[in-house]
Amino acid sequence: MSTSARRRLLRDFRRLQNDPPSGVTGAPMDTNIMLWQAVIFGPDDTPWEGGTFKLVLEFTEDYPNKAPSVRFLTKMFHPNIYNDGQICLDILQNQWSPIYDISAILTSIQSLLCDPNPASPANSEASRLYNENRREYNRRVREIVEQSWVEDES
Amino acid sequence: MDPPPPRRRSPRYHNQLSNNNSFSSPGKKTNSSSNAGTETKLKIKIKRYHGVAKWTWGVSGFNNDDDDDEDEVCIVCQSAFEGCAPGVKYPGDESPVVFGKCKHAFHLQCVSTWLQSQNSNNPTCPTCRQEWEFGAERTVVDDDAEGEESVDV
Repeated sequence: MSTSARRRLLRDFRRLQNDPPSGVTGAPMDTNIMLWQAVIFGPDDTPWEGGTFKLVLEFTEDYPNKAPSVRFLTKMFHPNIYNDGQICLDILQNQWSPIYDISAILTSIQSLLCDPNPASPANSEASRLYNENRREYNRRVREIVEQSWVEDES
Repeated sequence: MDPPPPRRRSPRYHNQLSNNNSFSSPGKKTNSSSNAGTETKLKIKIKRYHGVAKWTWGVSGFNNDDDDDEDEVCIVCQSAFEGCAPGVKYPGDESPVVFGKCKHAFHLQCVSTWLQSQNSNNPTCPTCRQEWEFGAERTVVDDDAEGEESVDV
């Protein structure tokens, strides 16, 4: 079956392999090109360093005119990430544009890790600690990073 | 909305050898600045040749980011401008390229689907987010009409 969404996703995949952005990786599931798994590595020299955060991206036939739904599988602690892994990020909602590809989505999420947007809190505790007690916030982030290494085995 | 596609370049016929049975060596020609009489005639007989024509949309340089080959693809579908937009069988007139007032270029089908999908009275350009308006028809300057020769002897 060939649709414009699938054709575009194949081009995204080729681009991701030929010109891989640093610190993110992703690939479609074996059986379904509309469903992707991705990993974002925590940026160096930040509390997120060393973390390996898994995500799942679900595309519709409307891609690239509609954003995919993106969710962290790894447990996160971040002002703009809900407890169920949903991400509050403008380009995945009302600021979406069809010029974005998977590379751009993953890179944007990676930069969101270190640059939370205080205007749209999704996790009130993370948001409060980020604003009022950065030391404790960083400690909680380090906990999440360590959990990201062992999650698979649980 | 009335989208005027940019004028497609007419095919370029690269072959310049229509009436000659022999041609002069280009190397000699450029070196002989002092005396054009030193041109050497090569003893070659042309029995047969294939004329090769090529067309492009002439989009290069109009997109703002013309520093790499990315401006050769429609950024929405990531296919070449000269290729087919999604849902179109044939490249060329069936898959025209259009410009916005903001000078960003897309396949007509690609930008149209996006504009409709926004469900807004003021849909925006995918690239710059300015309110989208189709730009006027462009006249493309044929900057390299003297293309390379392509001969099959």
